[in-house]
Amino acid sequence: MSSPDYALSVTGLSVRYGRVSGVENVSFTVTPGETVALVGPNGAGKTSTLRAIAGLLPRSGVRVRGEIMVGGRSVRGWSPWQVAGLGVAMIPAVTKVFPHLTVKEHLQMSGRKLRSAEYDSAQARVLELFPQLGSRLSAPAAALSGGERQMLALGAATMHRPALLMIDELSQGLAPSAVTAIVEGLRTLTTDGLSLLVVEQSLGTALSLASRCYALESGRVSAEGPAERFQESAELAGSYLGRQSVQDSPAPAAAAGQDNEEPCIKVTGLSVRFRGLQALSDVTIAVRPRQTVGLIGPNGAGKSTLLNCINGAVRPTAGEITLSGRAIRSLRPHQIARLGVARTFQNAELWKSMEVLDVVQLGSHTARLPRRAALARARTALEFVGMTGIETSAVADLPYGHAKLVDLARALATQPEILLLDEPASGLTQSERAAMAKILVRVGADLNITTVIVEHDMQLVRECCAQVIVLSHGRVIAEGDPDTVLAADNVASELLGLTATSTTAAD
Amino acid sequence: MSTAVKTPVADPPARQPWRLRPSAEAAVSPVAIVVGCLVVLLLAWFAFTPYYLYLTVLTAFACIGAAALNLQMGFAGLVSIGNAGFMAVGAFTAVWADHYGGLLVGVLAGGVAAGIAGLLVGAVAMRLRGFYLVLSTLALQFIVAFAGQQIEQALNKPAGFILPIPSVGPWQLGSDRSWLMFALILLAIELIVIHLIMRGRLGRAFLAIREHENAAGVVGVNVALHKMLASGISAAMIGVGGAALGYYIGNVDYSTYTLDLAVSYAAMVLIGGLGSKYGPLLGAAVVTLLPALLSALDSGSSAGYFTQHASSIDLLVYGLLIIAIVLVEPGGLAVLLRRLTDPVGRRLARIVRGNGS
Repeated sequence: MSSPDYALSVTGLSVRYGRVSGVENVSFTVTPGETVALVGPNGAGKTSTLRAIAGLLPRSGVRVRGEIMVGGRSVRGWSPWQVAGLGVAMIPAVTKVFPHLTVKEHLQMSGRKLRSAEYDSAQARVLELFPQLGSRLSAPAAALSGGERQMLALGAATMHRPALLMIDELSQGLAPSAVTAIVEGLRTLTTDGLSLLVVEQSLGTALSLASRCYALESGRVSAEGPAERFQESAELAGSYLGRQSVQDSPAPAAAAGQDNEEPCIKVTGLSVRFRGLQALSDVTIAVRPRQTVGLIGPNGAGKSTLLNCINGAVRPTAGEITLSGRAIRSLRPHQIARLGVARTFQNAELWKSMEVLDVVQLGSHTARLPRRAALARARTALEFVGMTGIETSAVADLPYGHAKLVDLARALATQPEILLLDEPASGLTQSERAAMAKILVRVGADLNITTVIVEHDMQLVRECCAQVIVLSHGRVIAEGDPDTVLAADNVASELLGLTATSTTAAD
Repeated sequence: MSTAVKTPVADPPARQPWRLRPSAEAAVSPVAIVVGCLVVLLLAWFAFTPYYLYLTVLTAFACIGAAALNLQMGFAGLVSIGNAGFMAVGAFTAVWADHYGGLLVGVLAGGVAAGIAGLLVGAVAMRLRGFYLVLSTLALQFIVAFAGQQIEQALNKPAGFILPIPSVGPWQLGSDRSWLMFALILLAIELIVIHLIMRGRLGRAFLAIREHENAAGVVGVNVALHKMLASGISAAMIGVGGAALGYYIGNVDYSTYTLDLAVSYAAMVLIGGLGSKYGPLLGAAVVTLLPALLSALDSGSSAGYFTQHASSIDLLVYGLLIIAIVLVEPGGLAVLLRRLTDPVGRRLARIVRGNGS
């Protein structure tokens, strides 16, 4: 069945990380010279798919099934260098370049097998595609802006004229003007016969480039077809925005403090810059006591960075954060934890070789309780999340959903004033997700904890949050109650990433 | 109000039936430690030949060092090969403190001095991770060796210092039997202290640092402080062992505390099971008894090939064992053993419950 008509064909691909499913039965094709986009929210399995094709998944602990054909040859289980030998290049989402090497050195390294005349023409072609790089040939990659790094990565990857180029998160963290230039460059490359497989959060950028799209949701292909059809696909919007809740949610706002009460979390003019990337710019928000707030936005919008700033793991470049009136600028994470700030982690397998009861008791570390009290508190927290009878199991032996609940119990055992939840529903199955939503509603209603939830699952946000804050490109673009905010056109298009289309079209 | 809401989460897996309730388990460990030490003592007292008795004493001392090193490496995740240095600090301090009250004062002073050294090393090491951490603990090794050599030169003791045969009250530690008893008492105390640490707040903080340093900080653990504490407590215990061993050998010389010695202790922990409660004791026994086993291969001839090259063959075998363990079962002998005993335990539990399913 090997068909050389396809530059790439993937059939029934499944990737499992231990007990966590990353990709389930995904099939798609890329014909020579075609551009195909994989779109979908964070955690949908897009990057796992690319890594499986490139041979970049670790050998142990990961199970890959299905068929991956590149140019008519089955490459499943191949090493990265073997796949690259077939003319497949990949640009990862984050680490694209070597920070200490110059632009020129990157190109030389990529073109090291070319003869000098070939090299000269290859370099000339790259500089023609991205003229911006020409003036920066002797600059180290660390000094480049995000857009220039992506251009350099593209240039280096195409020195050898690969047959298939895979790009993970093409536009993530890039300024709109840079995205326009890069999209232009890629169009030129594809007219020369290059096949492109682009993973993209921003639907607008994806649609401006690709002829066909595959939407992934929870590891499965939820929609596929020609790019034009995606523009107004209600189905796709549903997977990004969550279905409108049918019944009224049980008024999560009831317990929230009054407008005149002093904010529990107050963030003023917060900016964070790292590695040439503006993660947050001039963010100002206030969360009232006992309120549950959802922090949403496309991937790379700065949601996790904001969470990390509040608990001290990231130091802001500018701006001020006060928790119940106390400035936390000079405090270290453990000191902030002592003020009553708890958080859960996106990766619930963090405490994998610890026993459940030890993990949850870790929650009372800051309280310095006597043994019995610490134990009692841990058991109460485990009961609250419905995880009893597993006290002596190691976290690594639990189903992933249970591990997430144990981590939540750990955070609750600190009896925090402020609870920060980093993607509580990511990696959960549908039923686990529903259970998590119910528990989070109770956290807000029964425990009266001020809660900030970073989440991509809008259904869960609608169920749990009285208020949402939408971040995009490091800025707050909307605030208000979930139904109104999510219904607003600009928010919907921002979450779907449709705004980039207008930018591109305008140029 | 919260009780009315049923969480629709799937039933968690049932508690493994052959394990005791956590509350009962808490009492088991200290009792098991004492009983275990008594059994070894009785066996050695009545059954062993003098040579085996001597080997058992050495093993008991090795256990003291391995258990202490495991607290730092296994539970807190801080790799260290400075342990020979801490042993030397303990032993040299004991030589000095012996004049002020004999064995107990010497051993205690050795522990305190090594503990302080451990805190200092920890204060430097807490800024480092991985490879650099290992190198910084290695530095201690060379500093102590150099200082020991200088002291011996300055005091004109080219063969090191002699420690007298000590006594505790009327009890003179002249025989291997009495030494075994003393070493086992120290070991039992050490194991109980480690057990108490690990079931408390301090122990959980160590585990959290091992699992994820940054997350531990976010949870509220003062990471820098607890790294220093792990290093200090572990070093103090190693120092106590080093001082006591110094008394047992009767001689303290800087040339005893080599890099080989440090590596062999790390080997004990790795072979026995990094982060397992009692695995490192198994590792200590294997590593200590290995030379004796190799000599036995020479079958009668008193100075055969294996005996002559014992020290280099030992290192080779440690190396192979460590590679084998890392490849086959990173949990070490402790996990391998549990794999063998678990089916038995499960069958026992089934019999106790009275159904054959």
